Amino acid sequence: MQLWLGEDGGGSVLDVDNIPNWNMIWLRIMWQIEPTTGWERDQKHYAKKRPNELAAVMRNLDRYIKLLNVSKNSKAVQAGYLHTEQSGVLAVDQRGGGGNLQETRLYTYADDETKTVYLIAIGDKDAQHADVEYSKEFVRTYKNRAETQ
Amino acid sequence: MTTEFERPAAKATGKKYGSVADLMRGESVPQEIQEKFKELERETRVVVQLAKLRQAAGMTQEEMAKAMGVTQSAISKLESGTDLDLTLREIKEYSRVTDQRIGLMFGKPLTHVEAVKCHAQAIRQHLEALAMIANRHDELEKDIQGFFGEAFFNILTILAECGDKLPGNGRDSGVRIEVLKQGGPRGTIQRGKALVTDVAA
Repeated sequence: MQLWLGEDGGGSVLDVDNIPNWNMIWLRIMWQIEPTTGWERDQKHYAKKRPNELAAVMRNLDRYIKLLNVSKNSKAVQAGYLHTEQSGVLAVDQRGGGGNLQETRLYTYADDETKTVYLIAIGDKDAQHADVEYSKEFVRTYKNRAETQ
Repeated sequence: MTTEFERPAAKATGKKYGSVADLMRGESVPQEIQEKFKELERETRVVVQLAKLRQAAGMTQEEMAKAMGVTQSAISKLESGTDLDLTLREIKEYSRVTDQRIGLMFGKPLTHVEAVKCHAQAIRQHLEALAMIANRHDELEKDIQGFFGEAFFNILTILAECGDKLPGNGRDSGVRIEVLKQGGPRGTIQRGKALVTDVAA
């Protein structure tokens, strides 16, 4: 691993992910992200009302995806900003996004078979129970559909 | 306020993205949120790489903590934190425990020309070191001689192939390199002759 930290703290990260031919080899096992209609609706609401919280959970989603790409499977990924819920639902929180952020969770489901992370919903602490149930329903329907196909 | 009964069930959209940045662009997330996301992402590049090293090594945070002599919560905090909270000691420990090389560079990235010069200097140092080894160890002399041949050919091949991409196939660069390849399947090291001509002469 080689990291290049630019003057502004940015710059390029030089590691195996940035070697073109290596990426071609790994393309088949790279995880993809698929939004659901639930996430589409929630992200519009958060973009207007809680933009910093949205940016923070998306940053942690980015970290999660990067870890998935080097892990054996989705269950092997371990991070402080990830919370395991029932039925395979995994919540990504806003941790590390700065002070005074409202507690926010992005609900996801990772399908190890298709290497796809589904973004189901975004919500605050008050809506946690309803959001988890909503996400579980998505996973239930998704799994039923996959079984019948 | 929307109740659970009014909330339509979430459905997969069929739109797939390879990264969160692509997703945000594709889903038209407002520009200022994309900028904030990039800013946060820049603050965590090193910690993300460290977490990736641990995951790629198949280690849990508990195992990492044990190997480093700290608590699991310390590892969790480190990997969820920002680069500015890291210490060099922690970076070194990740390198030691995962047995991986970690290089950190600060400041302006090298220009392409500076990078080529740096790599050339590094190649020279390593080849000189190999030559010294060959002088001291007779049993390695043949292998090192062979490696020098391969290195010579491959470096010239790189120069020739890149030179061909210049306008006019590099005819105006002063030097023309033509590699005469011999057999061998694609992707293997091919032995051959390199013809270097001074086209300016």
